[in-house]
Amino acid sequence: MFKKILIANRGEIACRVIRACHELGIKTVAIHSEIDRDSLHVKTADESICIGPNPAAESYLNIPSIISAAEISGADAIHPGYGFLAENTYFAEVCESCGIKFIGPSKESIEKMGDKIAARKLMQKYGVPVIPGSEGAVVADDPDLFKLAKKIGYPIIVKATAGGGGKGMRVVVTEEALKNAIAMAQVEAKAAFGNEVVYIEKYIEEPHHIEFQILGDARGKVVYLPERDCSIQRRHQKLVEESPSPFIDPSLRRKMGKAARHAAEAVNYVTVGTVEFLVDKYKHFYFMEMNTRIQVEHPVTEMITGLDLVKEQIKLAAGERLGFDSKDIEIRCHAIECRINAEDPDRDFMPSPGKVTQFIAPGGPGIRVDSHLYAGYTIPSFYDSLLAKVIASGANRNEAIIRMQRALGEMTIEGVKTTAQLHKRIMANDYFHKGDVATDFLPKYIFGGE
Amino acid sequence: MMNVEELRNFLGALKHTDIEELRMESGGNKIFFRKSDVVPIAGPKAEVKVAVPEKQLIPFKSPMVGTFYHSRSSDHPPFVIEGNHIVPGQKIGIIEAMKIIKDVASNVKGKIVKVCVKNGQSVEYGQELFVIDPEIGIETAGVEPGTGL
Repeated sequence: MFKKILIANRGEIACRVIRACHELGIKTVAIHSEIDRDSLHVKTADESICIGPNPAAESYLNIPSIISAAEISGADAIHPGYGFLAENTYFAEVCESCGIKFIGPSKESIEKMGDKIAARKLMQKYGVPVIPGSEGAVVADDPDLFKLAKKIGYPIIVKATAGGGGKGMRVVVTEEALKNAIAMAQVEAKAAFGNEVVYIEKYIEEPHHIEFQILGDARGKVVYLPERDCSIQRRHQKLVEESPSPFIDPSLRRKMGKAARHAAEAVNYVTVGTVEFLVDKYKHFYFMEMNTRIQVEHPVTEMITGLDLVKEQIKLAAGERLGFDSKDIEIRCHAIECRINAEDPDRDFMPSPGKVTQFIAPGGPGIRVDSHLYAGYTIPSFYDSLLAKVIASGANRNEAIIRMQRALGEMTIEGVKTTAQLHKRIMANDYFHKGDVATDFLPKYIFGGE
Repeated sequence: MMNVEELRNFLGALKHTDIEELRMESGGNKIFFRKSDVVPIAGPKAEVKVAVPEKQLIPFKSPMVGTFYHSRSSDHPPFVIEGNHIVPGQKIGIIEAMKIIKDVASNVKGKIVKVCVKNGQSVEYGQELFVIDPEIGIETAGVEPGTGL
């Protein structure tokens, strides 16, 4: 087992990892930028080292500084958290060459899943359903275009290979509109990403974003855990997650869980990861991508299974074997997580850094709060806006919702604007109560067609 | 009481002793004498002190995280020691990180007043390595006795 772990991250996830290390009897080293000197993770770690100025590129993304800090502190492992360098294969490689254990999968696993087109091909090979689409790039005057599109089935979405954030995308409902849509998408993609290469995929209507947590040990054993439903998103950023999904029945759970396991086995995955699927209204599911790190919403799975995923992750990285199977895991309750961000919903979610003058965390039965906030802490403007994760669990979905409403009512954060009010609206929404939650939930039911 | 001539002789004699301060009372007349490089300007009780301006010392902070060394190796003398005068660009130490040696160069002209870290000490970004006296403004104050500057 590791003696000392350096946490190459900040904020709530750094606090989370430090907690797991304390429970495992492992010493902790916090690294921080200058402005993060008073951050909670620095206070709770056994040691701390300032590694650079405020910009992330010069601190939390600065590989030489982080490795140097590991060397002078004598850390034998680095936990990368999520974001920053968590899925950076070069960082994983540097750790390895310096004799420091990178707490995560191998760089090969990260690489294989990082290349979206290659990952698709690999999944197909292992019998994991993928979204039907073109093998590679398409152009408007491709002679086989209509044949391919017919095979995929309308509606079709044209996507930019270099894309993201909804740009360079066009939904095509009929064959007549296809050529023009490709041309338009190419123009947009060229302008936004400098790369006009586009491909086509079946457009999944009213998709549900369902993901499966998996764990893998060094001997090749992979276990999947009950799914998380992360359909409530704004601009592809998750806001609310819950487990189990109101959309998934036990039979579908078994099918998808198996597929998730195959996906992880395909890349010899070790430690923890998440396989993401899109599920259409007909309950067909398709592999979307794999996240080769611990995720923000992991507490939801911890609440319903009773597992400590970060402790498991560290133990697996240290070479321990997985001591249980998927069938041993029970769904003990229903859990919901709300991500509270320092953003002003009344001003198009403009980031709202500043000094937190008052922070009262909610509590009581079934409530967990993962946060790095404290009264008097100043939220810097250099990093992401996640302030706190509020997780509510209950004997059933209804009780979990009621507890979340109670918790959101109790929680007080003053000094900065937060998205707490938006979450209250979601929790009060009838469609949410009914479980009518697909990825168009927010624009459809909350923002009213924005 | 002494007359002016006697007083002048008296003060002249005192100057060459190591008496720092003297109060004398005689028949209602008081003389207060204190040795100073500054000329007193008002009555016997007056003493004028010219304030020495606060030194603007500059902390020299570590540009990176690593292990700090004072010299190239244990066989070599340190790049700088307390009291040394340095110029911008002068190498004043090295920091080792990931088996790479980086030179630490001064960005100011001045005198090393304090060396804050030991040879081989781990340092973090922004940690104080030296305190430097930039030695500006001494010409205008003109009160530092014996500096020869």
